[in-house]
Amino acid sequence: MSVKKISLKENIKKTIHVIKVISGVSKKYIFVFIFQSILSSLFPYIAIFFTYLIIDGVVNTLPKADIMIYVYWLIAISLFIGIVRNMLSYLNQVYSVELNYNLDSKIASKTFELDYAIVEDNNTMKLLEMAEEGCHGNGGLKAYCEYVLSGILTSIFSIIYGGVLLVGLFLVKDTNDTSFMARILNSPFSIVILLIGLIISFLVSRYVMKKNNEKSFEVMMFNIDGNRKYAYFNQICNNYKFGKDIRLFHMQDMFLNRMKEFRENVEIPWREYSIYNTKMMAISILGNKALSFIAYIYVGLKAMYGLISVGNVVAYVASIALVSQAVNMIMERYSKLHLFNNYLDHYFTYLNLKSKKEYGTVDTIDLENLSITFKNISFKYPNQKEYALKHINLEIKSGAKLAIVGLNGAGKTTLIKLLCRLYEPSEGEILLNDISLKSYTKDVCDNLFSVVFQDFKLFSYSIKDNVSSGLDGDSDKVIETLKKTGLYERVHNMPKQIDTVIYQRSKENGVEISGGEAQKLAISRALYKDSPIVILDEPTAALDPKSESEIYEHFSALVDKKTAIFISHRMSSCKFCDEIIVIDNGEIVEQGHHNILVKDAGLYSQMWSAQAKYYLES
Amino acid sequence: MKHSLISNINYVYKESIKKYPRVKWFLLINFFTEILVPLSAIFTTTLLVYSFTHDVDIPIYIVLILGLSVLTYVLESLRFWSYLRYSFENTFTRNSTFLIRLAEHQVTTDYINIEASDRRKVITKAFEAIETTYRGIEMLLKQTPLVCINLVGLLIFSVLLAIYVPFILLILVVMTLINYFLTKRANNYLANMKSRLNDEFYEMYYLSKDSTNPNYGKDIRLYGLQKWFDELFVKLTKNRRNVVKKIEKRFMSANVSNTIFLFVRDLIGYSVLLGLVINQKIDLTTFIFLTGIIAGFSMWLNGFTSSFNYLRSSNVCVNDYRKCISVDSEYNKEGTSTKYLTYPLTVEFKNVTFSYPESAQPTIENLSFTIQSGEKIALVGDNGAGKTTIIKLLCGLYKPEAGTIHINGVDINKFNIQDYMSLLSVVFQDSEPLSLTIENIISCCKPEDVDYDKMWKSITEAGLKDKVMSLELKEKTFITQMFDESGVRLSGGEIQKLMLARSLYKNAKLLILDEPTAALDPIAEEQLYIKYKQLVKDCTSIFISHRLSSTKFCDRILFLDKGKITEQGTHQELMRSNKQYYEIFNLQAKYYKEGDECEKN
Repeated sequence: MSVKKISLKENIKKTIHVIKVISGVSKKYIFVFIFQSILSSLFPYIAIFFTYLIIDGVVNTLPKADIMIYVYWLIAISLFIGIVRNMLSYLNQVYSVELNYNLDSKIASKTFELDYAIVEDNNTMKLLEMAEEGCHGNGGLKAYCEYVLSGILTSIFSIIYGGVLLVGLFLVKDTNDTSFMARILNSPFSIVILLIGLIISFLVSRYVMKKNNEKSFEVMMFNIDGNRKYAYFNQICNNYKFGKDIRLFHMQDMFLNRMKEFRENVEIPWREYSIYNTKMMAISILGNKALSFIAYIYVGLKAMYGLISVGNVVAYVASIALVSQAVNMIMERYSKLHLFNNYLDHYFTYLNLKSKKEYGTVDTIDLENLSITFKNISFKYPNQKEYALKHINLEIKSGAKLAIVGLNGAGKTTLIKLLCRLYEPSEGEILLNDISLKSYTKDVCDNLFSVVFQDFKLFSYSIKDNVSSGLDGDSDKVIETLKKTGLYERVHNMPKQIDTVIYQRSKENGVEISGGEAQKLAISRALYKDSPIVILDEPTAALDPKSESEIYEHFSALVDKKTAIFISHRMSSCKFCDEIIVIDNGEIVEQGHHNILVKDAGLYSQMWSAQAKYYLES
Repeated sequence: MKHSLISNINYVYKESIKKYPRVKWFLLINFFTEILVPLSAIFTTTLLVYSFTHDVDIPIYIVLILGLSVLTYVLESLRFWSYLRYSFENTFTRNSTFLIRLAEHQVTTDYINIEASDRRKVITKAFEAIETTYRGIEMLLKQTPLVCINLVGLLIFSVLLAIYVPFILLILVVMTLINYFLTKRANNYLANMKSRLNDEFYEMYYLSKDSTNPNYGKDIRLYGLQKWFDELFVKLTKNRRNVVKKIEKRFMSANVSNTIFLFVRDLIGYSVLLGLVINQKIDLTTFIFLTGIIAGFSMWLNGFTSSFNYLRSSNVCVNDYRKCISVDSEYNKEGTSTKYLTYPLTVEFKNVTFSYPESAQPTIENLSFTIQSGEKIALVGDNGAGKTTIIKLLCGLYKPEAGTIHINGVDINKFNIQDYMSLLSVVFQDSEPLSLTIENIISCCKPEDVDYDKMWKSITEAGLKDKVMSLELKEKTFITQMFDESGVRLSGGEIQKLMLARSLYKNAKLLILDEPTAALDPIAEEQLYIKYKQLVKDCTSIFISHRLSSTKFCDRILFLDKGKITEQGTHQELMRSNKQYYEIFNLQAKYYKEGDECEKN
């Protein structure tokens, strides 16, 4: 990956786009920072202007009172501008909060919107990493505005103000001196001398900045990679869960070794980069000094030939310094703009990712009589050669309780993911009440399934919010589901009951819950959602025998008349189901009720005996 | 224990210089150039004015300007070079030396020091000290030279002012003190709010991370969590904005007072100087020189106060860091060697009591039991009964509050902790492998120390051989793509097998398995049980599982209820005694039995 060379026109277009995005978030912020730029570029010139008047006043021996008037103007204007700037700075800090957070929330929103299949893809993960780096790297959008755009704007204004002040330098003066030098200096064309200086300075800066840019981008890519690994090491050290294993298996040396290796690999290129940077800066300063040398000579000679006053000298020298600084700054900030736009491109690319999932227009469905049909479903994960599911044909009647069993990796969870539309089948279709799943609206699809996956996730927020999946849950309903899963007593004894925060991650002192309790909580969440199709993937894996038995006994109460699909390695759970299907290597190899399958000498009876025999030996 | 500022400065610089000795030179050069550059700027303007008011010859003027330009060029280049070099070294010191030191602490200190919730807060603070450039260790490294430079600059300029216009100096000092007190209020407020600001930041950070984590994607979509998270984003943004508003208001009033301070300074300064120059007490050159000095004085002053404030806050951070890593630990404590222990081992708990720091009641109380040499024990009981706690105590991860634990009759406290842990092989339920290579994960040692025969034997016995052979880089394949594009993701079952292979490689004489078959299908589970008997032939072992069928392999079963052993004996004995074990076994078995009975019918 290298820096894309973006032309000036394109850069301007991109910048305008970014500004539009920012003003979409906070118009006030844009106004504030533009206003700040105008004022901060004006500020030093006020001082220069009045200082020149003061100095000339002294030289021309004006009375003190007259000179003091200039002083009063100077300090009054400075005071006014200063206070306005203080207020703007306050507003800037307040409005910029929105700016940063808004970007994060846009990335999150986009991630939510994308198809699960796309999100899981490694390429998307990389793009996401770059998008995040794009909007946080180098100080993020705040730096984009305040450092880059503001710098460019300030510089442009500074050049304008400076130009105005410097006009006097090129006016022809009345003089009696007819020497050659005087005539040259007096002519307006002598401005060329100064311009030569400016051009030298400009060219040098441009060269330096171009070189720096290329290096910066290299470093940025390297940085993203390094940051991720750094965050990983941090996480391992911070998380006490890994601490057990590291101690018990004496992994300290290996782990620390890896860390040290990693750090060494990172430091060497960075150090090189810093040395490179200093060399470039030395060249850049040289360009600056060349200009200021020429300026001092030019201005100084004009003064010595009486063409300008002492006050003028101080003012012109200071103005030229400011203008040259502004020219340099435009160069430097423009190249940073170029870099930033490259970074932000990743962010916009991510935001432009499109979902491929299609929804239809059917918005009603008979939830009481829901039948599911898998018609010749085949599925292959993206980037995989083998098919995970092959020619699956299955009918699930309304209200049926179905168990899916099979060996690890057979395709059980994959089947479920297809049903929930987390993935789309490669071939075949899934029908609900004889209408293709794709034909239903998003609303209908979203409300069809209550799922507890084997690797379910709960979040470090309150129990109530977790169970109700949002901020406006119904407390009574939450308590009811907790009672059904046998978690109510435990929750009732917690410091804030259902408002207790779980896990230690948030700022509040969260309560740690065990794996089994978490599983019950996940089941509560599924029950709260109250969808017509309930899917449980290994729901009792972490539960002790009593809790497991409770779930089984109340199973009928839990799922009631809903259609339920159960994946489990606990063959005993099959007893509660009307029908069992056995998946092996992506195909349905056996199907039927337990009593029948257990007598056939197939995979099901093999698995059943493998578990049962340990219970039945007397 | 709080360390003084000087002690902390010493602490961080010692490491920085040790790591990269040239840092000394960078700092020294930077010190001189930072002071000389502003001085040379003032000097240049003054020289300019002097040249005109004293009619210096043109050639001399040109030479002087040339000389000055070269001089300022050299100074400015050196300034930038030294500043950039030492800044980068500061980052490296933070990111390497101090991170690794903290990591070392995290992986070697007693386990309880990283798990207890009060310690976790301390650890989080220590991480804050090394996480960014703008806080803690790197900030201390950066601000120390700045404070010195600003202080010296301030002194030099004060001396110059004192020579010419002591009255102005006096005014400046008075105004400074007033300003200091006004900004102190803002800074104290910020210090107090810092932890709130951090909290807000972390909340948002975690929310972002959760939202974009593909592992969470299924639940987010299936439970419509998008809306919840969107609302949280809005809420958190609002919270942060409110906190920021409060802080910034204080700063604004401090800044405004600073602006007014400048107003008064200029008013008095110009009045006094104009008076002097008009009355010919000083000449024009001196006038210009002094206006430059007064402006410069303010620059040094502002620099000094802001650096000093940063210094103070970063000092607090560094103290947090030092506090964290200075906790006592047994890692390197001398102890009896484990070399002379005979195998298989015996284990004995004598009146052991243990409670978690946050809990009022002990998890296990006055617990005693013995495991004979070579015995295979099953530990069963409800969640929260204390099974995992017993294991952690046996592993030496926790220390009993009361009572002792013995191996072959020797109190385990007497052993060096590392030696002791090498006696045990544990497979925990929630074990997750590090994202390194398969050979790293199984051998747990550096690649040069790996015994490849032993490793392949473990892989085969754990049932992973086919999988590993199917990978392109075989045992050198990374798990997950964290460190290498070619990394793979393993399924839950494969991970459990990997963890088992690791235990087998270690070949310890005390084998502990906690729910090793939770993610395995019935066939793989059966194969594991068959293997298990073989695997533990020469070991003493403890087996925890909710699948009571698995306890049949064990010689003896210990039933744990609320931290006490209520039943113990062989499976047959416990079934005959008709108590809790019998009840629970039947709870599970009945589903398997009914089928059988139906069959018979």
